[in-house]
Amino acid sequence: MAMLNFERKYRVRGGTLVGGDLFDFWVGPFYVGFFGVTTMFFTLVGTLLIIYGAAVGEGLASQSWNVWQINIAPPPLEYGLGLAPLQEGGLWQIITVCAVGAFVSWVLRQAEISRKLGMGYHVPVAYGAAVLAYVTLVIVRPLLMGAWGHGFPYGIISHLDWVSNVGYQYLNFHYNPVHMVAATFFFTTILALGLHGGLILSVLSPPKGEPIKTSEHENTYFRDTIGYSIGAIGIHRLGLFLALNSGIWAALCIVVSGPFWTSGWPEWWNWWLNLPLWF
Amino acid sequence: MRWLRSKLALIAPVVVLAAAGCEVPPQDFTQTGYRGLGFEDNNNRKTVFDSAQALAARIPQTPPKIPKMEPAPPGTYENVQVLGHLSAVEFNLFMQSLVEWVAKDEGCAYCHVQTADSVNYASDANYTKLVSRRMIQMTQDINVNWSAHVGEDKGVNCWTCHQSNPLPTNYWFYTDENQPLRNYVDREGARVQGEAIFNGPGQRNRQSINQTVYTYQLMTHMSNALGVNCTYCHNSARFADWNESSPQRVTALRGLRMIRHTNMEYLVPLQDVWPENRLGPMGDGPKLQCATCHQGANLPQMGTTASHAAGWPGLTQIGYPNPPAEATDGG
Amino acid sequence: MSEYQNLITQVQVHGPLDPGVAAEDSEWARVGKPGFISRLLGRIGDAQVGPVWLGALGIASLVFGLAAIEIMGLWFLYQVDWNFMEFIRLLPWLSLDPPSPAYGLGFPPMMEGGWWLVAGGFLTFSIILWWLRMYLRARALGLGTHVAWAFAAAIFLYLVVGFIRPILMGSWGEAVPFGLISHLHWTAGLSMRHGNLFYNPFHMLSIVFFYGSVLLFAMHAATILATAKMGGEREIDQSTDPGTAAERTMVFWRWTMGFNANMESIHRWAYWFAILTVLTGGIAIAITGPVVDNWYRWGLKHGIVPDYPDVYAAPVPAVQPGELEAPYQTAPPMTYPGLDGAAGTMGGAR
Repeated sequence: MAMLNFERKYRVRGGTLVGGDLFDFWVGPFYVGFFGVTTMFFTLVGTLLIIYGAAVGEGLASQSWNVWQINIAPPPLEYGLGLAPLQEGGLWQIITVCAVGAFVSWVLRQAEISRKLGMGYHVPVAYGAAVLAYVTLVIVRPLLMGAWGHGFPYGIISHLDWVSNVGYQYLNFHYNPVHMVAATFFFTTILALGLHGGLILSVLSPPKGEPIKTSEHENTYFRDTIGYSIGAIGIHRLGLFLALNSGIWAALCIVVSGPFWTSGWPEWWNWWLNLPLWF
Repeated sequence: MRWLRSKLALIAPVVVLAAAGCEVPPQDFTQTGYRGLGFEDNNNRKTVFDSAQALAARIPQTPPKIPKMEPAPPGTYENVQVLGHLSAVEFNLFMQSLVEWVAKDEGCAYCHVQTADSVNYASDANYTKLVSRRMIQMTQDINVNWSAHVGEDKGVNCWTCHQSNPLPTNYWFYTDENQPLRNYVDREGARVQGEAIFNGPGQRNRQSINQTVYTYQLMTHMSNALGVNCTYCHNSARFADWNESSPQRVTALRGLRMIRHTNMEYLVPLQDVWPENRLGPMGDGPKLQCATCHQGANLPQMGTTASHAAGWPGLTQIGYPNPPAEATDGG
Repeated sequence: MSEYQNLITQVQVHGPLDPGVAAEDSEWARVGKPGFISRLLGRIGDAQVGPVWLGALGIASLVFGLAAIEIMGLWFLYQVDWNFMEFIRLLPWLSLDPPSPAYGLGFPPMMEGGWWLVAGGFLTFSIILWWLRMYLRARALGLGTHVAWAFAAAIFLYLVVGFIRPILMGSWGEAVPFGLISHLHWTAGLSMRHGNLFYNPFHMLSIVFFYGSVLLFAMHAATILATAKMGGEREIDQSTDPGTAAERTMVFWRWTMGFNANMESIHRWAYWFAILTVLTGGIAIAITGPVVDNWYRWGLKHGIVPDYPDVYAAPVPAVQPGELEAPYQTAPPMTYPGLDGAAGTMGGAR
């Protein structure tokens, strides 16, 4: 069946934000809810539009079903903040609306599920940070720059070409100080994840013949090796902090590039190099 | 207040970053390639506006251009070597323009020998006169032979680089650290990407990451000189591919070859002419680069006609000497 | 929010300091007993700092590591002529660079890459000793050695960029310089040299695991914090004897996305995503150069490159045959035109 062997007792009514009992049910293992319906709607429409775009050869010189090459491109900059013709980026705009709708619906559905289970809202908030990064890229930054065409294309390789070119618009994006902060958070998150996953598994999967260890062993291991153990609740606070800051500073680093800085990023460092206090 | 203090760790870096230099939207963004791929020219509105204002204020007051006339007859001048194709009227107008273009505050005596009561126009005693003659030849060369870069009907004049001053903008000297700039002089080639997927016998691309960084530094240098970014010429996913590059990249390659030629032909050979105070820390004479003409704009002087050679036959044709009066065959 | 979100510890309880589990080997190495309390740290995690295990391995690792850092620092000072103000001002740009490619894999003069080799060697030795430390401490406590093996994956990437790939390419010059800005130049240079690393499929995989790791940690950490009110953070106990916290975490994700992990297996997901990031990344770098020279061309051959519409006009004037052919970047010139008499006399009409 679709249920875990202890799940039945958790399937109670209530906890919904919108719609009351109307959509308060499950389909297989999935919880529906009002936002489940909206998620499905936006996802279906958006996906079908992407497929349509691929069918008519949007964003390409010749039509292709090659999954790597499909490219739903935003409008040219000349359309500014208006609605562009369907074949000239309008499709991208509608798909973006569907995406935002689907992502926000997902956040709110996670909130409803958290409510129903009596959990904190940490998961929808965390996911919301990722949604914020997406919205920054395709809505906030283009708004500040005056044209929807500044968004990134929906295509596996084409979105990478966009990233590469936008980076080189600033001559060397590595010099972006906010990017440096974000990258540091990213790498530190991976480090912490490897440490945490490894630690738990080392306790739960000891060498053959050894019993499963305890949280005292967790603490002793890190106190021995690095002098400090952040503890069970602490590592999750730290992990969430690192992961969310990765996304937040990443969104910040791209929103300053363009709206708030148009030169190359190496040039930004001149304020430091030319400080009057160097003698 | 307590809230503020508790958020200090968050606020402080933002304040620092903001103080470090933030531009305020809106700015100008121009698409330079296919939509949605990040090909853009980014310009700060205020900077562009201020530049245009400053440019308007320093347009030189040169005499009006006149229709082409017949060259001056032999013997008109003594020691005119590169402007023999000009009539006397054109010659004088050219000299007046030269002062405006190159020595606005210094006047004719910057190049010509001035004694208490007269000016010896023919004398080559001043090094500045020798240099100017080569500069005129250089500009003629650029406008005639390098029109693929400077434009068939545009070209450059002395003001483009000199901006009414004897010393032009953005000249440079050798140092230990500016090795990438050797591409403006005698170092041929900046290509580092190979044309095959694999490195194998017959296709050994031995370029190193080190060399790639050199090319990157050269390209960054050029980008700053022209006030453009990498996507102005390149598709960064395929830097080397000419099919995916913009037409501006071809123009830029032509420009690179042009400054290599002009540095090697005209600037470097002047080594023995420069006095001590015009030499760099390693003892070499000044050389030019993209920024000498372009000064941070993709078109020199933002494309103003005051920077063009059109209408100045002294600069748009290769010159020859004005022969002495008794010469019977043309010279 | 009127509900406590378990992000900051509101009430710290400090009991006697924990001396730690007895290690199988000798106890002399545990220094700093019994440790001390940090109230600041106690607001987000455990308040106890120390004791730390300072065994022979640890001390040796620190010595070599500090030596490596000393060499880098002294080299930076040398670069700015021992001017301390310039050292501070230019710190991000200072760099201890590997030798020129001209030296191949030989030992170069000290001032021309030799110090880089020495610092790199010390650093590598220090890291390997530290790895051993992570491994042996786990064994001594009767733990599995998972953390050490995750660390080994990261060391693999480090060795690929600094040791294995330079050897395969035949020159130390291909390795990463020690410097903030300069190591970023290396990254950009590697990508540019090899036709944009985005087209490298192992690089794509590495990025998938990279972003995936961040996603996973956000998901997992948020889930645990959301069930902390029921003891969700006690992951060992929740694995061996699942209570309502573990049950709710599983049910939450099952309802959200149709499938779920459990309190133990989520850590396997996490562990493998983190390891695979650096493992596939190391493979990506190892084959870039030794195997594939231009990833864009590879992408063209395998049909992943989109055929974008042409939007450029032709250059004016038209390109002449052979005009766009240019040589590869040549070796740095040994002479200075104008200074060596190479073009000493004035040319042109006189």
